[in-house]
Amino acid sequence: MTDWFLALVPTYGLWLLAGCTYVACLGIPLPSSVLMLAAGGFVAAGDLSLIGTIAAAAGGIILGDQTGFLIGQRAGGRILDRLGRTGGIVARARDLFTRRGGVAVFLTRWLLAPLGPAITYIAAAAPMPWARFTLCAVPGSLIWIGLYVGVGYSLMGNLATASTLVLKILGAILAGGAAVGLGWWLVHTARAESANTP
Amino acid sequence: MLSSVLVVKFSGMLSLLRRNPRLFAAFAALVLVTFGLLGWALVDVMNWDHAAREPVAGWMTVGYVAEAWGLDPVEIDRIAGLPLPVEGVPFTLNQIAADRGMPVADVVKQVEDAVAQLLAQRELDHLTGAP
Repeated sequence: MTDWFLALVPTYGLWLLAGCTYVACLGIPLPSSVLMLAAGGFVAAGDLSLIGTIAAAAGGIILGDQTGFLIGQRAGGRILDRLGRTGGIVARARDLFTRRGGVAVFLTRWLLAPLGPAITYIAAAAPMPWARFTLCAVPGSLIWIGLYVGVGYSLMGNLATASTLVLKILGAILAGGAAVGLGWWLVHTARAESANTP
Repeated sequence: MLSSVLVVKFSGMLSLLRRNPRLFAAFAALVLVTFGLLGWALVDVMNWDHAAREPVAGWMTVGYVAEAWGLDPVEIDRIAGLPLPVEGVPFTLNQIAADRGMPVADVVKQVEDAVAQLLAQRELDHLTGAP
């Protein structure tokens, strides 16, 4: 199926990229990351334009996120309202997401991209303000596009290896972020304990 | 003054380590994983020129194949006997095969042979110092 999709990239180029990323944002599994890597390769080969590729992918993702947000607002809110009647956990989760969900939205656009569609629906149902959702989602999506098209452009010739390389980079960022967070907590705790020691 | 602060922080850290060895182990593991993955990615990038290229496939254009191998697409077209590229109209090998009424495997084989010939020529030029 992936080869069939890839063969459509030079022919239907930008419309295919826009459509595929749009649909993927709604949670329908499509090989959009491989498509982006291949698109980067076609840009390097001169078959697609760089600006057009970025604009098409960004357009598809932004519209897809907005559609997902709209669906989450219409349907997700009702589901969470029903769940909310049975206990306070859902209400607390909604409250937490409304206040601090921006980081989750930002990170799930690129670092934890497979969770993106689910987080969009949850953010909309929370309800997270639309402007904050958009402000957090757009930069994250641009990072995702830049990373995949950039690697596809710079390192073409082996999509499987390029795909693994992106995963290594994302894994390093994820582990590094967690290490910094845990390290910060350890230093902070040690400092607080030192201050309390007579 | 600074040394006394450092001693206090260091002793605080040591006592924290004694009480939470698992957290420190997790921190060390995360740092190791981070640098391990970064190093691995760096090795991939540094060896990219010598890494295996994926086999020629029907979804590729001649331009894509040429760029992947660092070859001239017009030379590939010429040796493989394929139509010369038209600006702004990229054809995949699938489309070229369909236009010619040929099996895709045959077109792929022609392109593979052309790539092999050009790579051999490049290697020969490199050995003989030809421009």
